[in-house]
Amino acid sequence: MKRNFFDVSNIVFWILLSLIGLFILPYLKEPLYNDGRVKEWVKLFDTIQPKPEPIPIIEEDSSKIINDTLNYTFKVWDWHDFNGEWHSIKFKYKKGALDEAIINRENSYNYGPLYEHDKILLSDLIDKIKSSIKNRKLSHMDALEYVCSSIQDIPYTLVLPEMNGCPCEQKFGSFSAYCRVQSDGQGCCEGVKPFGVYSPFEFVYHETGDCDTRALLAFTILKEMGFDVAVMVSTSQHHSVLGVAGIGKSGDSYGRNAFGKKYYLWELTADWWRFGNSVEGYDWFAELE
Amino acid sequence: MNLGKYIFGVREEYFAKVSIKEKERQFLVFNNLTLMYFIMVGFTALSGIVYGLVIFNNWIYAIGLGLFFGAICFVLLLLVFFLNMTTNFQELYLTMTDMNPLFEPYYSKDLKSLSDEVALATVEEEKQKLRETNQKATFDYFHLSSVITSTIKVVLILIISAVVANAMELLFFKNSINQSLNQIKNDPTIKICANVKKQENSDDLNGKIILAKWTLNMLEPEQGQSFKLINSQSFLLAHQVLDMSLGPWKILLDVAFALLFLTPFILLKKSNEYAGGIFLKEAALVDIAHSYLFFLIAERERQKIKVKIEQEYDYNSIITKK
Repeated sequence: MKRNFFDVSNIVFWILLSLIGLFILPYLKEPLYNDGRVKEWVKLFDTIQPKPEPIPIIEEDSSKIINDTLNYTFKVWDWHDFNGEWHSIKFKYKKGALDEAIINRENSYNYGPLYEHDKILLSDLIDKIKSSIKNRKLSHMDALEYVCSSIQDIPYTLVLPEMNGCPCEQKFGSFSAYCRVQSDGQGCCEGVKPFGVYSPFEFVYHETGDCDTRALLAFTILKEMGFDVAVMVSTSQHHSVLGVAGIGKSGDSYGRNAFGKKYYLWELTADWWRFGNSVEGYDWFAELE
Repeated sequence: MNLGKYIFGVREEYFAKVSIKEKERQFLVFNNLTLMYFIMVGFTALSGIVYGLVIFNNWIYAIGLGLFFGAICFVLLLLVFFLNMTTNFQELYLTMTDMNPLFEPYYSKDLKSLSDEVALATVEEEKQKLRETNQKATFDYFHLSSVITSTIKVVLILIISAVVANAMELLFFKNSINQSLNQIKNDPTIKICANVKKQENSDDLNGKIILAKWTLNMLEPEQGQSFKLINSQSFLLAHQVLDMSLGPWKILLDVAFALLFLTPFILLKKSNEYAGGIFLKEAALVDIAHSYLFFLIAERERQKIKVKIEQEYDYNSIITKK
């Protein structure tokens, strides 16, 4: 027994050494080496990869609306879709949400903080829209149209940062009316600091907003639903639209992000505009994605 | 070839009183241990060369690093081995660590007339007595501190084995790694990413840009030079590619190297043919005999000098001086 331990350990050592020595031979080591993970790693540098599948839509029973009137208030979000069908969604939001959204907007100097802040205030609306899409079993494109039509159905209102900006004449129209939803689309809002854009919640609340306000709301809802979208801006056009990626070629109007990723443009300022229709300008870039 | 002689001092004369079979067995176990030791030192020196080539891309530095690694491993493993080279023949061990019981009877004896021959005969007699009375090796001096020292030794060996394993894997798979590195270098995705301008408010993307630039930079050799072993200036990049490509096999290879390096240590610790072997027993006896003989001679001389001083030294002169 005493000697067995030495013999066994000795054999183990030499077998291990032989096995390690076998790795010098190409036949054995080739199957062990798999560079698939290296290829996957390189893909991480790809900034123009499509985003993963949209977040699964969670079904929710819309009849179970909690009547917590102490802390929440309700609003109805209704619109005609592109086919003329009427939709109505009742959702709740926290009391004081408007003040919160205004304070946040006044202290934000780009779109990012507005989206990050207001997506929480609008979480119930987004959940309801998700449920509605799920119940209607809408396709990817139909779901996009469902959301965008709800924004496009609201008439245009110009939003300006200057205190005495209204009324005014712009190259794309005359804006002489009050800061309210106007059926002729001539509403004008002034003094919306700091750069003439309402936050997503303010837009839902007042239903008044111009190009970037609309694009930002559409971005907020669709992003939370898992769509690959962006707020696209054109310096030459002084304009803003929604950008959609990962949906195949849709028309000739598109912009890119800093890494060359293509976003097809969706104009949201009028109710007749559909995805794929051309949008003027050739300097569209993704401001928020 | 008696390899054990060069490291552990296993010489023929230690085995004069044992059977040929036992002597051959002892030579075998110590030769094996020495061979394992040389292999481990060789592996470490080779790993030093590999690291040197990857990091410095220069043969002279690489050989220097290989010698440095080899020397460190040589000393550390020798230390670990020798710390476990203690005989398990308990009485010999105790005699070696405290020889007073053996010396005490001589403090009251007159040794002035003791001849060298008689002293040598006394020592040989005692040596034979100790040899005959110590026939069974037992391990009975466990102490909690040995757990700590063993842990330190194991950790030390595992560190060396991990260093060696990574270097050997780089060496074994160098062709495949170089192919992967070339793929990365020529990949359009990473090239595009490296050429993109930095963005404000996008740390994630900026991080990618920096990493892409760094990666491509690391895959280009210094001007006027070419890669010697791995086509990367960065050891970390080469290691990452190796790690990604081998996946679980790398862990298996690391474990194989760890076992390879731990086996001699376990062998030395657990096999009764080292601590309980004839060589260490005879070495302990030789050590005791030397100490015993030098004690007798020294004691004899001390007694002689003492008498001489008593007879010849003029103590009155000390008193007068006062």
